[in-house]
This record gives sequence, structure tokens and C-alpha cells, in this order.
Amino acid sequence: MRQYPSLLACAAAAAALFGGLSTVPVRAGAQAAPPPPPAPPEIREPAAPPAPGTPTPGTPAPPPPPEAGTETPGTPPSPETTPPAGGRQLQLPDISLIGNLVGHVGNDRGDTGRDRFELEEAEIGIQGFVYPGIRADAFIVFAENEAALEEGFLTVENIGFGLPVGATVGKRFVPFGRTNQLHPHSYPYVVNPFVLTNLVSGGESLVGQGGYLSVLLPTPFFAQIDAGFWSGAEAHAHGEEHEEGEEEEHETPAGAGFEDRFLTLRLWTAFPALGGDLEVGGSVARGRGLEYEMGEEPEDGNVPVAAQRGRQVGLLTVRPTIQLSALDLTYRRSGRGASRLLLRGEYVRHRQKDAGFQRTVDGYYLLADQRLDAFTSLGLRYDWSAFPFAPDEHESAVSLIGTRQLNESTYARVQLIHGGRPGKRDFSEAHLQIVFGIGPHTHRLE
Amino acid sequence: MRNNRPNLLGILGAAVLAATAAAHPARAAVSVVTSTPDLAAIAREVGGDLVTVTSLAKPDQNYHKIEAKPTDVIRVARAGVFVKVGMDFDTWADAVVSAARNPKVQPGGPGYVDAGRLIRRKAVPTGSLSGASGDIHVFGNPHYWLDPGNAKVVAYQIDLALRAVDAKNAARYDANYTRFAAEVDRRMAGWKSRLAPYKGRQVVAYHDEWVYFLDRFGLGAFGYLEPKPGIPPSGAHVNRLIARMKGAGVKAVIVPSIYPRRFADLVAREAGGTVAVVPYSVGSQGTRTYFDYVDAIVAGFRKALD
Repeated sequence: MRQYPSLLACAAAAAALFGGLSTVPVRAGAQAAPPPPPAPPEIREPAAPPAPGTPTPGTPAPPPPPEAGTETPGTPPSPETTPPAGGRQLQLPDISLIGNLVGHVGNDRGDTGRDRFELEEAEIGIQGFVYPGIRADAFIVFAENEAALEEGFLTVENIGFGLPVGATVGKRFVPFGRTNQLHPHSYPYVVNPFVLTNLVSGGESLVGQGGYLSVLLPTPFFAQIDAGFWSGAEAHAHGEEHEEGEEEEHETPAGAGFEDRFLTLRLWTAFPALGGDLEVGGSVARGRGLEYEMGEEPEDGNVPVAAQRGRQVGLLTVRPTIQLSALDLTYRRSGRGASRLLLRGEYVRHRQKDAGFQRTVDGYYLLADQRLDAFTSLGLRYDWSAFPFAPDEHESAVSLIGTRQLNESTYARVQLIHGGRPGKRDFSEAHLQIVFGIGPHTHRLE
Repeated sequence: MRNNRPNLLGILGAAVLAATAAAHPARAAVSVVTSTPDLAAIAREVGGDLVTVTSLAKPDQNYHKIEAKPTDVIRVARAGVFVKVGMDFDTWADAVVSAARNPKVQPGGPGYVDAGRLIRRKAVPTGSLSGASGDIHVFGNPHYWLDPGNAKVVAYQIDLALRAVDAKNAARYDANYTRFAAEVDRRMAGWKSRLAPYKGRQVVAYHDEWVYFLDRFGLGAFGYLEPKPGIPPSGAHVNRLIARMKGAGVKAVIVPSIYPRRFADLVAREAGGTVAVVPYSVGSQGTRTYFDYVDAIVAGFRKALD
């Protein structure tokens, strides 16, 4: 309670700051009353229902619409407070289904996922407003005969007080990097960039339970800061199969490797440039990592832990603090019709630090994607990524990607990959993906 | 050593703060942002020199394939008025408006204009809709701005919004609106006169977007190069269309400037007709105003129907 007045004072000061830097709204009733408007032509009926811009009492009435009162609308106008799509006129949420069929063939015999074509996941989206300015989104994913809530969150589009601040709470793909919040059906490729899988997500996306504030800065260009606090990181871990063939499980983290709580901070900026739009983003995520054992089992079981020529000898248990840093660049230029050039790169650095132990690895990808027309896209991608929990290894590849779009939510895509990775220095794969969508399915600004 | 590296966010944050410090104060003119160049052209007529108008979509950009971009967000964040087509047409703009967090132009705000709200809607589907129907809009055909009569309805709603956010200039906005509406009426007589000789005639178009224009001028749609809205032309469909055109004596083919011509040329050649390429949006084919745009479309229809 003691903090309440100071919070209000802070909010008021911030509101004054942001209000002073942004365009100040003009109150209709606060201005000198303008002269009555001239009568427009073609008035045959009373004016249509008040529009959102209808001035408050005290301001002269606006001119009636030219024809709206003389013709019967085909359907009732949708209420201004409700979004425009789907079953919302019946106060039903938007319900949609996105299916993601994938499969690949390749020459890596150690790849147990090849030579299959399966429904990898089916995503049901349930979306709608629960209150003016508060939106709920839930995405339930069915994969491998299990159902899971992939995301479920509330978004307050504007917290008010004149502040350009939104808030999101719930389970969410966290705002880290340029593409972590995208769903697979929004990717311009089949296979997630290696660096994002190896250093960030361990799978599809880095997920957290918690929330973040999203602040649109009052800058002359687009600049948004997303600051989040998360728990319940869905840390991925791989069991190691020992050479002897024993199924002894040593849990090794995958992806970022956060144990539970972590923080995220992202700055996203965009500028008009070179006839298109240039986006520059920087992200940080930091938290305690999973405890794991590293190094090699000493042969006599009694060798002290020591570094020899940069290699760990003996088993060392570490529980590091993990910090992810990322820089992303996107250039997008739209051309005639539906053509669009997209150039994108993301660089991620993964740093672990514990008493007497520090390790930093990194990776990146570069993507060029040209949409030729409304239905066809071609892309080229280069990947390079180390592994944070196997630092002497890395993988890299070149991909050629082709997409044939049937409509906004249904497409077929092929990604041909050639590269090298641990255990297979020269691999080639052909991935096929078919995504289909039914019903209204939307995501926020991507 | 690694700890001494400058933090990425620190560098970017410093750049943002520097740019903020250099930011200019808010401009006096009302900033109007529209989703399409056609709405922008109408907004310019109503706002005159009291407004600055920006369209998120560029001329000759397929409105169905627009990607919402962060640079659009900042435009909407500073806007006094935002105008969209509505009717489920430019839903990409909703993401921009939401991200902009500008209460003036959020749905229900004084500067928010869903221009389709007061339009007499045509081709509103009455049966079941699915992907098998093609790109059908649940609230009806959204290409209403192609009827100059509807341009007045759009202008009226923009006038209301401008009056609400800039009440001291309400009389000037009203005057601009009245002048625009009168000019539409004056030119409408000319457009009708120019198309009167073809009344009752039918055309083949690329996409089902002409219902408002055709109804206004007493013309009809015989068929479309797309078998269903948003579905690219197929050989079988085009062959059937050619056969039907020959049987009915339909020869006029209309193609907006963004669409490929090869199917239109094929159809016209086989049916002994003429292709007219008309501007897809204000700004296409050298058009600068809404009146230029309709002039060019009327001229295109005359060429195809002659």
C-alpha cells in the first residue's frame, strides 16, 4: 500500500513524458464550435447511425452520409469494438486448425526420422477478445498422439495511462530473436535454422510461463522493447547412449538449457531503407541453467578434473548461468503485385558461466527469400551453428527452398539441404512439407 | 575478455535514445494513414492541406498479399485518423493497428474508420463458406471503392473522423467533403454517359472485383479468368470460358495492372476480343487522384467493349 502513491506518480510522470512526445489528441468538445456544416447532396433519409468519429454534443452535427441512408446494407455493420473476422458476430471465438505434414529423405543412415511422411502436428487455435482491448489466444497442439497447450496467453493491447505499453501474460513463445514467436506454419522454410534449434529452443521455439511488457518507444522510427520474466522453461534434454550400448542416461541440455526461471529483453527497431524496410533487433535471455555433467569419464576413476590443452578431462558437474545474446537483421521490399524480397540473418551467442567454468559458442543463419508472385516463392539459406553442450562440434548447411502457395494458409514446400554435421560430414536431405489451414487463424505482428 | 565486449542491446539502446533526443516535435497537420492508396486518394480530397496522408499498401501492390511491417506500426502510432477497407479485406492492417497502441485509431476510437461499415454490401455469401469457395469474403465483396458513389460514403466517414480529431477545422473538412461529393456527382454523369452505349453488355475480368462498378454503370460480368476468387487460372477453365464467350459473343476482357496478361491475351485472341489493362489502384498507370483512377477505368472498359 505504501508503494501505491509512488506507483501512480511514476505512471503519471511516464504518461506525461510519452504524451508530450506523441501527437496529442484533440478533444472535440474542447475546441471552439465550428460553423454548421453545409447540407450535403442526395439527402433522402435521416443520417446513418453515429460513426466512431461522431463528435460529442456541443459540436455541430456532421453532414449526413450521401447514400448510406437510402440503401439497405447487405449485412448489419459489425460493432466497432469487435474484430472483423470469423464467427465473432455470433460472439464465438475464432477457431481454426492448422495441419503440418512433413517428411524427408536423406543419405544419413543414422537419421532415424528419414523416409517418413507424417502429420507432425495439428494446431487448433482458439482466439478472441475477452474484454475490450484484451485478447485471448490459445493454441493446442496434437503431436505424436499427445495433446499439449503450446501457447495460451492474454494480451492487453494497451495498458492505458497514455502509455504505448502492452502486456502479455501466460504461456508464450518468448520474445527472443526475430522468429522465435513465429509458429512453424509462418516460417519461410521447412527446417528451423540450426542455430535456433541448437542454441535457443532445442526444438521449435523457446517457451516460457510468465509475461512481458511491450513498450513502443516515442522515437521517429519503429522501436519496441519487450521485457519478460519467465518460469517453467520447457528445457529439452537428450539422453546419451554410451558406446557400450548401455542405455545409461546422462541428461544433457539442449537448446538454451534454462532450468526454470529466465529473463528476456528484446529491442526491435525498423527503418525505411533502400526502397524497403530494414529491421534491426537485439535480444538477451538470461537464467540459471540445468545442472549437467560434462567431460569424459576418467579411465582409472581417480583423475582430478583439469584442463589439458583446452579439453576437459574427467567429469565436472556444472550448473551454469546461461546468457543468450542475439542480433537479427531483416530487409524486406515489396514489389509489383505480390512480389516481395526478404533478406534475413540472425546471430546467436550462447554463454555458460559457473565457478571456474566458462564456455561460449555461437551460430547464425542467412536467408534470402523471393516471392515471385502470389503463389510461388524461392529461398536460399546458409546455416552454421555450434552446440553449446558439445563445444567441439558444429554443423553447417546450404538449403534451397521452394514454396507453392494455394491460399493464405495452405501451401506445399520443399527444402533441399546439403551440409555436414556430427556423425555425417556430408549429408543431403530433401524435406517436403504440406501445411493446410481451416478457419480464421491470425497472429500478431510478425 | 568476453565480459569487456560491448553489449548488443546497449549499443542499440544508445542509438534509440540518441534518435529520440533528435526527434522533431509533433507536426501540426493531422496524419491520416490508410490501408490502401485508393482510400488515401479519397482522404486527400477530404483533408486537403490540413492533413498528411500515407497509405500502408503501395500502388500496384496486391492488397491480398500485404505483409504488416513494423515501419507501418510507427505510422499508425502517430496517426490521428486510420482508414481501412474493412469487410475482412485488409485484416493485415488490424495487426498494425493493434501493435501501434494508439488509442485514437483503435476500433472505437475517434480516428478509426472502418470505411466498409456504411457501404451497401454486395455479393454477401448466404450459404456455407469454406476453402472450396476460393477467397470469398464473409461480409461480401469488399471492392466497393470501385463504385464512385461509394467513394462519397468513404469520404463522409473520413470527414466525420477528421471533425472528431480536429474539430477546429471541421468546417473546412465539411467543405472539402461537399466539394468532393459534388465533383463525384458531376463526373458521374460523364462516366455514365461514356458507358451508356454499352449498357447491358458483359465483360470477362481477371478477378471478381467489379460488382460495384458494373452495377453502377449497368454492365455485367460474364465470367472470370480465375475459376474461383484467388485461385489462379487453369487451362481447363480458360478453355471452357473461351467456348462460352464464343457462344455468347462476349469479347471484352478487363485485367487490372497487377495481374499477368497471358491468360487474358489468350482468351481475347481466341474469342476475337480486346484486352484492356486498367489501373489496379490509384497510383497505377500514372493516375494520381481518385478521379484519374475512375477516368482510366472507364476508358479501359470503353476500349474493351468497343
